[in-house]
Amino acid sequence: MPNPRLLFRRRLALPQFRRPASKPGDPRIFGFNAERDLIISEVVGRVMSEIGGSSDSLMLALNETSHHEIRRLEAQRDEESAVHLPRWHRISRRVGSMDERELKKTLREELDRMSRDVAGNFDARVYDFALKLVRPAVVAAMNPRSIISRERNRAVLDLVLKCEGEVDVVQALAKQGTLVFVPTHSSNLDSMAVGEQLSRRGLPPAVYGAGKNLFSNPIVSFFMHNLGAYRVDRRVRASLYKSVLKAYACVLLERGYHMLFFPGGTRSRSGLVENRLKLGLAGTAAEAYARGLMRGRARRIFFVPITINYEIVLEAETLIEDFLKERGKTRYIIEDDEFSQIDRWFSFFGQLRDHDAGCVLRIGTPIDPFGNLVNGQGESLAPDGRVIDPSEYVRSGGEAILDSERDAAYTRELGDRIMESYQRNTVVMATQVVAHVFYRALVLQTAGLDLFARMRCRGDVGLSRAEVLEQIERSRSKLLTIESEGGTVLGTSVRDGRPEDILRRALDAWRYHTRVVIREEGEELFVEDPPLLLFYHHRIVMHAERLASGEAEHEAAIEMSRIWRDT
Amino acid sequence: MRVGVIGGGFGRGIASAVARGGHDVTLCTRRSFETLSPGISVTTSLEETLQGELVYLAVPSPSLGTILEQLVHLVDGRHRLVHVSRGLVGTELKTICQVLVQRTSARRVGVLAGPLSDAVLREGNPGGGVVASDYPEVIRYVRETLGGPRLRIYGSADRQGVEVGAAMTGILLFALGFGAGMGFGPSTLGMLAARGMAEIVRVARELGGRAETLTGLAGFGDLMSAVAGDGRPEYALGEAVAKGQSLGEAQKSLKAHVEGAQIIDYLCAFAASRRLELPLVVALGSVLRGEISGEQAVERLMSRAVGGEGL
Repeated sequence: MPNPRLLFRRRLALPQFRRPASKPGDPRIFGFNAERDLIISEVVGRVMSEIGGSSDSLMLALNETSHHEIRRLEAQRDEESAVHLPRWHRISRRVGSMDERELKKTLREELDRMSRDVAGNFDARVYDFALKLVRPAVVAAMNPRSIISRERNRAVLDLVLKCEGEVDVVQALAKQGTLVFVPTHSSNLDSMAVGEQLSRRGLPPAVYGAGKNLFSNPIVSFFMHNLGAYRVDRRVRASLYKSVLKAYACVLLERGYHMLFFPGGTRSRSGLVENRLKLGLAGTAAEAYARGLMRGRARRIFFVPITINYEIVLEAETLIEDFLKERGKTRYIIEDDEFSQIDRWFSFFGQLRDHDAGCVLRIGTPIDPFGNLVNGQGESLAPDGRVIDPSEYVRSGGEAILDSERDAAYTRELGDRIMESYQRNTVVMATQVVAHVFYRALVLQTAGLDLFARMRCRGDVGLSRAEVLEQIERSRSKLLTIESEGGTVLGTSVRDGRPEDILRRALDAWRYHTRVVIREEGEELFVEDPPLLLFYHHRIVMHAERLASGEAEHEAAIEMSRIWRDT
Repeated sequence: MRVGVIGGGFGRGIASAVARGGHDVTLCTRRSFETLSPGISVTTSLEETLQGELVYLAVPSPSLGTILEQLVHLVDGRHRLVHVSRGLVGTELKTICQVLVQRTSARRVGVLAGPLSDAVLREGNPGGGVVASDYPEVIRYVRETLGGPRLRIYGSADRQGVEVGAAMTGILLFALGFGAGMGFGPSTLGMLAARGMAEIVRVARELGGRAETLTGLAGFGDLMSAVAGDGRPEYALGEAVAKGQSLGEAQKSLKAHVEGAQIIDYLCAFAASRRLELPLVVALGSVLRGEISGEQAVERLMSRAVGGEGL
């Protein structure tokens, strides 16, 4: 009998009794299904022309792909292998004797298959249902005994989940061009938090890419399939697949589909704000814009940086453990974490219930694909506030041209600007300030130990309550200075709370975790869980040197912030 | 191609080389010249100089800030800016390209470095330089406009490495002059040059550059040319300071300045915050601030633990 989980990995769609028609004024994505085949054929055509028509290049592409696919599928030994491996073996055997026509046909078929695997589906019914479902589900998790009503759900959620920043500007831009939302990524809840807030703020839904591993949760998989998500299988190494993904993103941008990318790639294992961005697919924006100009109908593209700031992170324990285990190596896929454990969801939301503004989405100033800030009229601005013409960035001798190396360099620049925006718009939470105070004490009291030895110091390092409160006050005052310079944003509880309230809020929030983070013994507080302190402290580690007072703290800060520079 | 050049000293040489290739050059300078190559028009207007897509910034580092204040309001996405400055800015050691990108709306920026002298640029002696940029088209533009049968322009994607090399060889040259002024012979100076270059490599790497870049024109090429006497003043300044003059006095008497002198303090702060081993730079900083004598600097350097010859 087939594993029922596999059924959900396939594309499950609700039955269609009549073809859904998008109404005028509906977001672009409502018409996605009608355009799906066109999009796929454009992707296939574009990658085919990129490869070129010579037998050598066609053969090289097929050889390279079959080599990688055979290796991957042989290692996977799953249902997918059973279906696809024989075909790749056949192609691999025959490719040397294929003539040009057959090479083209085979490549086109494989590209079509890959594109269909990547391309999403959008069902407006599922979208409406998902929006209706998120609020009561979250509220019920927060307080199962509450009487669920739409108004109450909204009120409770409003309290916990805040959205601030340049919402008005983004609303205006949604009507003038294509939006590319680029949020920070700490939790699998991020997509839901962003999706809910986009809809609440009258912003259009966005197409987003999701790792194939996310489709292992059957419920999540169903929603992913039907909310426009396209699938990215990180196990596929073939460069042909990367070309398909890139062309797919580019075509969607050109056609005006708003998109969402997590430029950090995966959830931040360390708790650090993203400081190395993978703008691979988002990097197609400059190309999409240039192609539009060449066709005489350029559509503006606006990047919208968003920071998603949590008082507590649902998967913090697994993430930091993974970071510590895999430091130096890269492991992208965690199949089994708190996200897949429903009791942890209840515990998480139950804890958040008592924390107004426990999750804050902060929308930064939109940026064009070349790193310039954009105003509400959709105009790109020079640093002195002048309106400048973005088309100049893709012109040479007055003509718009395609240049992949140029666009890659623009994308790196854009990445730097998004990263700066993340730093400026990181909302500092009580848990992070308190974690910083304790983690610094740990570093000071365990001088000479390396990171891993330090992680084992459970219960050894303590501070008196008076010391903790004094250090919280000192850190807050320095953070206020950094905020006044535009370097960060303080959460309400940090800005307005008394030091004892900040400490209490953090200690209460950490009760969500299965392990004790700080143990209170009368007027002494002891570090019990260095990894979780490390995780929460990392969020503000870029300010460590400025938060330090005196030589010893400064030395400790240099050591702590090394990770920010090296990552 | 229409090319703008800002700065009348080194800029004049660049303008001559570009004009020799048959391009129209607008040279922005307050200086007046009796003779100029055909194809060069002189102006004091930055707007006029920025008419073309490619603009060379050939002003010395101290004047760059003033020019930048004006460029901020004039430059846009059309411009490709290529600078020849030997500067690093602030304790985070921002390169001039980074400053240009941060302060203006230009993105396609690059740096031109290496042993390019008046003799090479204006008189057409055989020579070469290196242009580094993240944008291949900037490299192509510079090759097309500046390169010629007797001027080889190499390209590099290691912008950080080239900029650090250009900025720090001046300091190393100063250190060599200082060593010579203290009476040390070629063997000592040889060691100083090699260990100094190791420090340059460490800074370049820390900023994301590559070690091998410093073995090229922007590193050893530049240093060798200066030691062989291409007219750069840092060596003589170092000698004068070793003989007891303050840097200010030496600069005044030699009517010259060390382009990289002000970055020594930045480098010392950078070394401390990044825990980077820059003993020579730090010792030089202490001498220039009057904290220790030259003899004490030598003693401090020579008494350090000696290990492998790693970079």
